[in-house]
Amino acid sequence: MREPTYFILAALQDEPGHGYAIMSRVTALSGDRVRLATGTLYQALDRLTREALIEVVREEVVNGRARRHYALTPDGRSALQAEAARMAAAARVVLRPRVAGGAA
Amino acid sequence: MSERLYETLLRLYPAAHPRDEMLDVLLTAGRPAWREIPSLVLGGLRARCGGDQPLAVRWLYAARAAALLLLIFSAVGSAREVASTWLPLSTMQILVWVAVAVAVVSIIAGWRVPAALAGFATFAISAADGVDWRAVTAYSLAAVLLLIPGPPTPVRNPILLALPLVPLDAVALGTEPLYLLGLAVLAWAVVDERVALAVGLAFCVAFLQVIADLPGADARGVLILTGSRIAYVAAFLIVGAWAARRRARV
Repeated sequence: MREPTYFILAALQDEPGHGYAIMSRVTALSGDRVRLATGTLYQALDRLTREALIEVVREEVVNGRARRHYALTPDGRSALQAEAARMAAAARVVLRPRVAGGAA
Repeated sequence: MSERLYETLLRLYPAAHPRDEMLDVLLTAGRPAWREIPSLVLGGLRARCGGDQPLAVRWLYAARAAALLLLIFSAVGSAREVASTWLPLSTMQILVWVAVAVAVVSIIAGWRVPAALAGFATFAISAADGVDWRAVTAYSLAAVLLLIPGPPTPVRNPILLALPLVPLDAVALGTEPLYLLGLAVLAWAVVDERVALAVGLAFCVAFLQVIADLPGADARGVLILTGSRIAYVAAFLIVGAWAARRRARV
């Protein structure tokens, strides 16, 4: 899973969000490291919707413009948790406590 | 200023795309336009031209598009040779063109069985005629590519209809405009890698034509030419396959 995809899914794990909310949450969750351009965000949202990892749950009109709210699907939540578990397992290999100067 | 610029760029996206919503995000985020424009343009071109098929179907599309390239290229090549009286205008040649027309229409429409039958007919008739062996090799590869089973994948892309009109000689390949055209196809893989894959698959016919055109005694010449043709095929297929894999990743 690409890093921006991971953070987009993570941005939706607690509650649905519209485009700008997702963009802001991704920036915050990644500690300002992943800053999605709008075109990139919508390419990812299209792809994730097509793969049924997210879905549109609500549409509203704000300032005369349509605004869609996206939410994780059960498949999206599973994919996010599987990716998080994979990265955590990989991190443990490096971050586990070691005995100084020898094998753990 | 930014709003009008963004509205113009968002027209690159198909009408069904949430353009309004994207404009809302662009204006709310208020980032510098130079940061937004590249991904906006790329996203628009991909949404309009890139297709949204899964990886296996993108390869299938490329195989059918390669058959389309080979059929049009060879039929147009024969027509040029007939016009310059290098080839005779025979009934068999006319039948080949009719079969090519049926195959091309079927590929564009996504009719798999008629495309496969007409593709085989182009090969069988041109082989029976036995006048233009370069065309026969191209039709044989097109016929094989059209036999690949799979879901209907209409090939509707003006680039793929225009590309085979470029005169190209498998043996004397390598003029500057052709290199530039090749680079343009490779660069277009960022938007739609299926064109590069199709060109790479279609170029496989260049081996057969190079070997058929050179005298057997010139083994070194055949080796050099075949090697360079492998490089052409590899360049298009590697770039296309890489872009296709990348695109398929979530």
